[in-house]
Amino acid sequence: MTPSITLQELLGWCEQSADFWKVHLDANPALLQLPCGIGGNADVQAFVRHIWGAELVWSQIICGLPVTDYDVWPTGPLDALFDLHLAAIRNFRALLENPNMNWDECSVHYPWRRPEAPKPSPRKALAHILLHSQRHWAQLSTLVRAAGLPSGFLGDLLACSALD
Amino acid sequence: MIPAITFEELLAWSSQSANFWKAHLDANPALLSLPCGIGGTADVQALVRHIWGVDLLWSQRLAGLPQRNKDDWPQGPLDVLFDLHLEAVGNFRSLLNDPGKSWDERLILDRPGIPPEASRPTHRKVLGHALLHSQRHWAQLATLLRNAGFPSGFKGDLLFSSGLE
Repeated sequence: MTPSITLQELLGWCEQSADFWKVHLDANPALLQLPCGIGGNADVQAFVRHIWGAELVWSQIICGLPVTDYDVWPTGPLDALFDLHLAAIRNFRALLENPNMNWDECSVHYPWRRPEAPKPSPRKALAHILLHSQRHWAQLSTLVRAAGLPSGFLGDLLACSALD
Repeated sequence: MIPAITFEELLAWSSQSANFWKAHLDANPALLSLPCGIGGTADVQALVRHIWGVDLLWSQRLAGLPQRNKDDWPQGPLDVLFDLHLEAVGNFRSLLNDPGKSWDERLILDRPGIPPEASRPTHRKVLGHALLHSQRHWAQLATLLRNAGFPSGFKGDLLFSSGLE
């Protein structure tokens, strides 16, 4: 057996991290106004919009659905941004429950792909976006700690209950 | 088929990221002295020491090898810190090449910061954790350097890894 992590488990981790930050930012709304800069985002709220909006866009790309334009994403409030994440999760679940999905075909075209860049398989694209948020939550955790407002976020996979 | 990412693929991504930072920090050694603070480390060199030292620590734990105490890890230079990573990669490869390895076996962790419900992870989970721990820290380091006015050009997303298609 080749040891691995299933995309279902990565999805569980993704949900747990998103749920943590939704609760934490709901309880500490002033954090949303902190200056950010990561990925060119002016403040934490814009950064969270990037994280959850990217999930939705990738879920639509992998599903072959029309892609919600960046300019159409809501800019807030937090509940509306979280809805982007929830819509993405529904799409991810539909993908994972589709028995006809060809996970290894390098067929995923994303609009900003450079011609020389290979098309990823749905497996790689889904793993990418499920880990994209984890990397950004780690950055956000550092940002709020550096601002004197540590979140207590346990972002390591070790702390995730989606896998044993 | 349940879609999954193999640990071979995660190991390749880990190695690619480590190789990027080794080359980048070799070419820009002044970055190593930048103040840091991530994980309580004083500067970038200490953060890199943490990242690669932890790689080694988990690899030794999973392989049942004696663990080198954190206080005995070298402070530097970068080449010596990178050796910690290379030794870890060797251990990880041995584990992945071992057909008799029981990935469902559990470790008992009694470290502070580990929630009780997460204190008996399988070897599979620990290896997944070990291979992703560095990726989260590299993302933080990329931000730290950019904020300090020294963008690295690091492309840390899995999408850019050639370790899987």
